Amino acid sequence: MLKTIQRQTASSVLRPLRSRFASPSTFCIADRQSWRSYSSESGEHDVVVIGGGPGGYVAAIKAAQLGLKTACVEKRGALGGTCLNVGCIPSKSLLNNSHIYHQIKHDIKQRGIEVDNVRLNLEQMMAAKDKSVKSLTGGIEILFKQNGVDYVKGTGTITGENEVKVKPIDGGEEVSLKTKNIIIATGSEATPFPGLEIDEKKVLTSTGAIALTEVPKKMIVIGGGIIGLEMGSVWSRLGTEVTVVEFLDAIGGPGMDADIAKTAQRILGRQGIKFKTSHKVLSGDASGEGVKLEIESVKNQKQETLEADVVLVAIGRRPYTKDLGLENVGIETDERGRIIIDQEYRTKHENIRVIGDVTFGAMLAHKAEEEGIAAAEFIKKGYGHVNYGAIPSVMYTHPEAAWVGQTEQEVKASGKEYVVGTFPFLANSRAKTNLETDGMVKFIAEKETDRVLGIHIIGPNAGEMIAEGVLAIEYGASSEDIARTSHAHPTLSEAFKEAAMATYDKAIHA
Amino acid sequence: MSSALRSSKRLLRPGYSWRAVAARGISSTTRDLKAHNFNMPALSPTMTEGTIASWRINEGDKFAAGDVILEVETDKAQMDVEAQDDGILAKIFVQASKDIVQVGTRIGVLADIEDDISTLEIPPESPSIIPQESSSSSPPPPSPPKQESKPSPPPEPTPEPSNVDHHKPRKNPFIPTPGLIHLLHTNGLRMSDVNGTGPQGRVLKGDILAHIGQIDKNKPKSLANDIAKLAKLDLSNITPKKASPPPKKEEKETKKEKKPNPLEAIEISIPISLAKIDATQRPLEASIARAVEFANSALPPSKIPATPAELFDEILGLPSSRREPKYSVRASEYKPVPAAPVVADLFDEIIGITKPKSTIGQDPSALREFKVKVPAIDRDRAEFFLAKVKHSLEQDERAV
Repeated sequence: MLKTIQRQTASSVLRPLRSRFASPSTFCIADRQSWRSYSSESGEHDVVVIGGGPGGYVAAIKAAQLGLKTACVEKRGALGGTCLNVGCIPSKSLLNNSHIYHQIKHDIKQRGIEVDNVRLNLEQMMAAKDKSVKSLTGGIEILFKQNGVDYVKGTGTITGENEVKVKPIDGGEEVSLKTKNIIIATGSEATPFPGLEIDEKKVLTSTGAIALTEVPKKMIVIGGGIIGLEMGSVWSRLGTEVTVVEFLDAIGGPGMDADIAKTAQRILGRQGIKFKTSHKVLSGDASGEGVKLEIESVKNQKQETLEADVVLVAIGRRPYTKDLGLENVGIETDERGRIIIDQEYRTKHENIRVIGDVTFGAMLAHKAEEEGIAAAEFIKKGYGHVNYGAIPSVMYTHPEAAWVGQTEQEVKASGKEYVVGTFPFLANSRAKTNLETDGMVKFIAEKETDRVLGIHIIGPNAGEMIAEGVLAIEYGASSEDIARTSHAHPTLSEAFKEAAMATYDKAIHA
Repeated sequence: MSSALRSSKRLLRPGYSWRAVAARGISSTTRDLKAHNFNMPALSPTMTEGTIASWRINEGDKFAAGDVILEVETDKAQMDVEAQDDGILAKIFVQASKDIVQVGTRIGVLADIEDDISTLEIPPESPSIIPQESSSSSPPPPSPPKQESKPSPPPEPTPEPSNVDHHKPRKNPFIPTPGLIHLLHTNGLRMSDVNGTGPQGRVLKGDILAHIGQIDKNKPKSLANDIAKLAKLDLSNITPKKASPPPKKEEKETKKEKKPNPLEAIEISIPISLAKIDATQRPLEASIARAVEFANSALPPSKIPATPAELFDEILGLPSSRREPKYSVRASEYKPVPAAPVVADLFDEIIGITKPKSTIGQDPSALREFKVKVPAIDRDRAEFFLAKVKHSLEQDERAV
């Protein structure tokens, strides 16, 4: 009883969530009690995480699980960051449901199902998306309660090495959090296109592209990277005429293997998306009814004008450090705005660490998560680990594209001798029965040792299949290791196995 | 006693099901038989023997998961053994008594709940369970004593030989991956024969190929090193934002250097390697003197303002009395300044200058610091002079 009373009195105004929550076991209470009584004297936190996205909230939960008194500052009003609120999650909801719509409309007749009068209810589709988002962001709040993380709703500004000032989002007085450690996880924002003002109505970033209230007739996507292709796919399936303008000569961004990018462009093109690769956008004009873009061919400088109802700016994302107060503690960024860190995510102040999109490395939610855990472990145990050579990437178009490790171009540039093994889904029994035979699995292995250097998949369910590839890279597998591992029949994963066989020896079914 | 009992019961419940314990002691064919042997369980990692205090159910009784089947007493505590699944106690071989029973000895037979125990075939006692001491007076069916040191024949090379010395760290505690089994087999190798270059020292296919000489011996290691580099966050080539404070400081510093009196003496120094001269074993002083003389021979005109007398001579058209200053050098031990060069490099990077670092790759012990004192206004001239000296001493054969 005494313990319970202490717990409640120690809970500051900032942490109303926590006092209501009963700990699951006596052991746990005793454990938490020990650090609580230790730190409650000064009201100081062990860790304050700024940003409640996939990097920040994972770091906060992990830190709390490691017994550190942790607070997480988030100004959005909902946890989960860009990913859960306006990024990965809502876009996947739309991708999944728009795919079902598109399939019913155009694909299932050949499967012997005839549906008349198929109509789109965009409002309901958006509502389904919002529901998913809400339940997931709410879920994190529950996780915070369960793990005893103080959730502070407001804008966090670093005012000193050991102080974060929080301006509450609902007004009210500024709160000062004293802390031993700070983890910056403020993420990124869409890079705007110079000369086109983002209004999220006609000129969109991904945030606006997941919240349109009607299906536009024409859409131009500036940037043929993953975000542009995913959102382009959504609206293309719902009936929009989508044109993707990409400066490079291939879509998919720099991380995608050239073979996969080529295949993706062919398949997506067949689905109705138009591509203007090797074109740069000279200027844009959104003053009229729609949007006009002047574009120019990189190859022959031929200019043309594109018109559309909406334009999606998807040229990349940039680190977000607004109101963070880096200047107050002299923390530097590089020329692209990324906060400069060392291998242990430390800034020039050892107790201030930085993870996720706001610093170096790929801008991926799961990369930020790994770093969040590692940062918390560095604080508590002095050691954390992320293997940057084994972080997968997935593009959730249909079919999906997924990869891990190095692209063939990267391997070639490194001067290594290598072997490529591919297997088309066209020769896979399950893909054939599903009538979804687009795509392939591609392995790149070092020539002599057969060690797998990269795995690239485009095809049905590639995003799930890549997990096996990540494991293979993580464990230093050879393609023979994978080829000699049984894969269930008939599954798509057999294509994965056969591609491995084709790498070290020969595929059976090709 | 009761507290001991309670605590041990709790310990039992999550992990130590009797089935798990029993399964550990008996052969893997258990699952195929309708009934299976129920051996004396090890209720703690150190338990080797115990006595059966009481059977809580009788022969032929059904029991449900969670029921206590018997109580076992060890030298430490009395513990309940609970059932994990439903079943029937088909037979009891060792009745409750004060007799000591070795762990693994068959004490009963269990059957599935649907089995008719009147027609049930009682399995023979597992051959691998042999009472180790004769002190056990329980009635185990006599079985021919076998030697523990001879395990059942393992013809294939296994990753962990059974007679491994546990005090020595094993070379490769990893089981072979699917791709390795074939290679190990066809080459008559064991995992312990091969050095691993994989993550945490794991043996990879390339390691075996290198071991048998099929590929270059160093290949797996060099590949592993390359891959290890990719595992790290790439923090090379960071260009800090120009507006950041340190470059500003740099600018201030350079301004400060320009401000002072242009005729005020400053000292300029560069490190010069004497490795080449040392190698020729010529007198050092002579070489330096020649280099200095050579460097002084063709210097750009000094910027030091002419004296009135010199100017007057010039106006009159007389041969100029002005003599271009010649420099002499002082050599001292080279002490690299730790902080300053880094800042300077950073600044160079920002403004796009890439200064070749002349001292890199040279033996640092052969480096000497060469200094020259000049008026600040002639800084460039002096630098040119030092560069010439450096060239002479480090590269030019004639000077040497």
